[in-house]
Amino acid sequence: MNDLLRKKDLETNPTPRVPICLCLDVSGSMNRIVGGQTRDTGRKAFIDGREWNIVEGGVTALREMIGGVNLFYDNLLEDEVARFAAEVCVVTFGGSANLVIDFANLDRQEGTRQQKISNLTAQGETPMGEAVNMALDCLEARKDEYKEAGVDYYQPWLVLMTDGEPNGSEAEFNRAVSRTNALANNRKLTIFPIAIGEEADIDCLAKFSPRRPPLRLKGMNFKEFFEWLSQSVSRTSQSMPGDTVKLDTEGIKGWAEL
Amino acid sequence: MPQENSLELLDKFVKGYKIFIDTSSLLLQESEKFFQNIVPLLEREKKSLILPLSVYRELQKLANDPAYCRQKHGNNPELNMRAIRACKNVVRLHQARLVEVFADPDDGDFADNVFLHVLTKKRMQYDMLLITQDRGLASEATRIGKENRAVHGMKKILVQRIGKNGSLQRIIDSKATPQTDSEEIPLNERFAFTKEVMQIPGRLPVSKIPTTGDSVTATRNGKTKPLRLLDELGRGGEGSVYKTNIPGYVAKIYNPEKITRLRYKKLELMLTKNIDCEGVCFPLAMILNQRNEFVGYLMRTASGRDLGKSVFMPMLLKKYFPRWNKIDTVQLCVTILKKLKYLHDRNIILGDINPYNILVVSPKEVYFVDTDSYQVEGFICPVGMPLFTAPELQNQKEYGLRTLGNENFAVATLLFMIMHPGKPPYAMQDGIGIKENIISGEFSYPFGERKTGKVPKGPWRFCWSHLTYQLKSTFYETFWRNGNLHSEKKRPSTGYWLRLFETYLESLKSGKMSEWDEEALLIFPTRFKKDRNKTYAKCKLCGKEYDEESLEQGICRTCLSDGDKYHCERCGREMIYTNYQKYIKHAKRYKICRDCYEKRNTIWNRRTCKNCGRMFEITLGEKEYFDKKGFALPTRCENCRGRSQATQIHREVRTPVQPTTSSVFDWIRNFFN
Repeated sequence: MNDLLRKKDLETNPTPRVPICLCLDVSGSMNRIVGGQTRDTGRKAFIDGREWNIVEGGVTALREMIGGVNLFYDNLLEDEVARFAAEVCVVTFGGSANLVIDFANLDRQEGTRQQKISNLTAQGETPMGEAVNMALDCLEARKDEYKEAGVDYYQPWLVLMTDGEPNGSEAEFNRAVSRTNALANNRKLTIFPIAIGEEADIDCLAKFSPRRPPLRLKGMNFKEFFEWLSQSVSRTSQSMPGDTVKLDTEGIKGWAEL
Repeated sequence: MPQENSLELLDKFVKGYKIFIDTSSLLLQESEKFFQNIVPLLEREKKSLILPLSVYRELQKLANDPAYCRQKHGNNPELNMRAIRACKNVVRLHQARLVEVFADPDDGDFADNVFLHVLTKKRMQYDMLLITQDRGLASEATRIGKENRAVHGMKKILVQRIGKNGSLQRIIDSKATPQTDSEEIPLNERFAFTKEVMQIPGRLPVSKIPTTGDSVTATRNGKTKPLRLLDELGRGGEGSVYKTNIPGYVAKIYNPEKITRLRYKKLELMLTKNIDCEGVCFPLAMILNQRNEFVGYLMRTASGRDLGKSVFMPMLLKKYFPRWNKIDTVQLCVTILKKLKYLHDRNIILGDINPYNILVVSPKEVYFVDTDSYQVEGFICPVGMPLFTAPELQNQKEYGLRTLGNENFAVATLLFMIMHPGKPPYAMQDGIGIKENIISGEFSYPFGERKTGKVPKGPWRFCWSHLTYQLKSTFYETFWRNGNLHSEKKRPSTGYWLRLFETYLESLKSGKMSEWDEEALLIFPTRFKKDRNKTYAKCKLCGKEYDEESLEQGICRTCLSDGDKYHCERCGREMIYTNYQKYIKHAKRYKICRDCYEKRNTIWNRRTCKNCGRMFEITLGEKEYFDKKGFALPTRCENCRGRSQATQIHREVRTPVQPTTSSVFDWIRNFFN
C-alpha cells in the first residue's frame, strides 16, 4: 500500500470517514459446494475439522462471498458520498490470518482490489481470534492516523463472517473477544457477526458481540447482505458523525434468517 | 432632554470619548445644529470628530452622482442637496482640524464594518461614542460595548443618534439589543414568540394518498385551485414530491402516517403569514385530495445540488463548479445569509440547518428545501444533526423549542464549512469526537496569541489564514470556549455575519486582496496569507511567494518535503527522494527502503571459516546477493576471502541520516576491516 498517498488523502478530503473491517472466513470449509452442477470423484478428504466428499465443478461458498464483496465495493464507488467517506479493510482467516487490503480511500484501493479479492482461496483451519485481532489492530492504526490528521470519523464497523467454529489459539480468541466487547460496550465499534450455513458456531460469534446478536445468512444470500451493507454505509455517510444511525431492519429480512 | 443637560452631556463626550460619526447622521438636516453645539467644545478641548474615509467617499458619491443617490435612497432630490452640504461641512471641519479622517485599507468600502472593526480593536484603550441613525449598526455596536463591559470591565462604547434639535439621544434601549430587525417587519409576515411547545396528538383520517395523474386541490385562506399531480420527482422518509400542471410549482404529498393533526395545524399557521423570499421553498397552499382531506402542501420548485454533495466535498466541488474561486464561495455565504436573515427577521427558526437541505445552482441561486420542518411559534423542528447542534443542546433527549442563539451556532458552523469546504470547525488533531469537541469548545485554529498546534492537517490552516481579520476574530470568539461570542445569547446573528461577508466580497471583487496576495482568490490556498510585516521571496522550485525567513536555501517547506517518488528495489514500496535530501543534504538516493535495509542487515546464518576456523556471519542481504548471482554461499570468512581475492563482494552501504543502532556502524567497520 502506498503510504504517502494513503496519508495525503486524510489531509485533503474533509469528509468524515466510515471505517469498515471485513473479517472473512476463507478456511478449507469455504470450498464447500453450494450450487451449480457437480460430479462426485469418489475421493474423500479430512479438512478444517471434518470429512468432505471431493467433487468437480459447482460453485463454492467462497465464490459467492467473493462476488458479494466485489459488489459491495462497486456499490460504494457508485455512491458519490460513500465513495469518499467509506474506507474498507479486508482481513481473511484460513490457515492463518491475512491482511488482504489495508484501510485507504476506496479509489486508492481500486487498482488492485478486484484482483486481490477474486484471487482469495480457501484453505486450512479457522483462526478467527487471530483475524479479529488483526482487524482491530488495523482499525486502531487507522484511527490513530485519523486523529493525527484531524479527520472526523463515525463509529467503525466490523463485519465478521464465518461458516465454522474457531480453532486457532484459545488465548488469541479470548483476547479478541474481550477487545471487541470493550469497544462495543463503549460504543466505539459496531459489530455485525454473520453465520454462514448451518454449521457456523453461532454461540462463538455471539461472544464477540455484546449488543447485537449474530444473524444467520439466509442460504447463500451474500449479494443481498452486501447490498444491504453498502446501503447502510451510504446512509451513514450522509448523516453526520455522532448521529445514531438507524439500520434498515426491514432490509435485513432479505438476507438473514430471523 | 433640556438644553442645559444636553450640552453638559456633549461636553462630557468631547472631554472623555473618541467620537465617531456615521453617514446617516451627517446627512441629517439637524446635523447643522449639532455642529453648532459641538464645534466650540472641540475647539476648546483641541479634539476632533473621527470619520472613516469610506464615510466621506459615500458622501461624495451621493453628492456627485444623483443617479447613485436615487438608487440608494429613492427619488429624494433633497437628499442630494444634503449630501452636498454634508461634504462641504466635512471639508471645512477637516481644514479646521476638527474632523480627523482615517483610512483602514483592510476594510473595503463598507463603512459600517469599519466602525465595528475600530470599536472592537480599540475597546481596550478608549471610551468611544458612535453617532449614527442606523439602528442595525447601532445594535451591533451596542453589543460590542456590552461584551466589553462584561469581559474587560472598563472602557465604554456608547451609541447615540442626532435628535430633532441637534442634541444627542439614545438610539437603542440598552437593556434589550434585538438580534434581528424583526420589529420593522410587518405583522402579516412575522410569526409570534412562544415559550410553549405545541402538542396535538393524533392522525388525520385519509382515504387515499394521491399520486401521479390524480387531481387535487390547492387551498389557502378559503381560496381554492384545482391541480393535477404529474411525475414523481423524489421520495424521502416523509413522502413524495410531484411536479404539478402549474409550471414552477411542486407538491409534497405525505405518507399516510405523517398526516397528523399537529402537521395540519402547523401548516395552517404557516399559511397565515406572507413568507415570500426567493429560493426559500416555503409552503404556499395546502393540498387536499378529492375528498378534501389534507395530504400535503404546494411550494415553488427547487433545483441544484445539495451542499453536502457539492461544496462540502472538494472532489465534487471541482467536478460540479470547476470555475469557482473565493469570490464564489463568499458570494454563496452572502446569498445563504440573506435568506437566513429573512427567515430570522420573521421569527422563523430553521432548526435543522444542514448541508443536505440547501441546494446550490450557482453562488447567487440557492434553494432552501424541507421548509415544513422549520420552527414557527410553538411548532418545533423535532430533528437536527449533532454537527450543527449547539453545545447547550448536545446530549439532550429532545430538541424542544430552539432559540435564535441555538440556531446561530448552526449558522456559524455552516459558514465555516463553506469557507473551509467540508471541514467541520471542531475537526482537530487528537480530537475525541464531534459531540465531545463541541461541548468542550475546543477550537483548534489560531488567533492572536493563542495557538493550539492541533489544527487538522491539510489545506485548512491556509483557508483559515486567508480569511479577513474580522471573520477570523468572529469565528474564533464564537467557537472557542472562552471566546466572548461563545455563549448562547452572544453568538453573532445572521445580520452581523452578513455585514462581514459583504465587506469580504467587496474587497475580493475590488481586486485589492489579490493585488496584495495572489492566493487570495484560491478556495484552497497553498500557503499562509502574506503578512505585511514580512518580506517575501519566490521559491526556487515552485515559484510561489513565501516569507523569506521560511525558505531554506531559497526553497519552500512544501517543496523541501516533496521530491521524486520511486519504488524500493527490494519490496516495491513507494519511497520519496526529497528535495531536502537532494538540495540541502546533498545525500544520495537510497535504492532500498529503511525496512528492507534493516532486514538485509539482520544475520541470516553464522558459520565457521574453513580456512581460519573463526566464526563469521552471513547477513540476509549477502544471502540474497549470492542467490541472485547464482553463487554458492561462502564457506570462508571475509578476511580469508579478501586475501584470495576470489570474489569481490558488492554490498550496498546505506548511510542512514540518523543511525538507529550502533550495530550498523559495527557492521560497516567490520566490513571494511
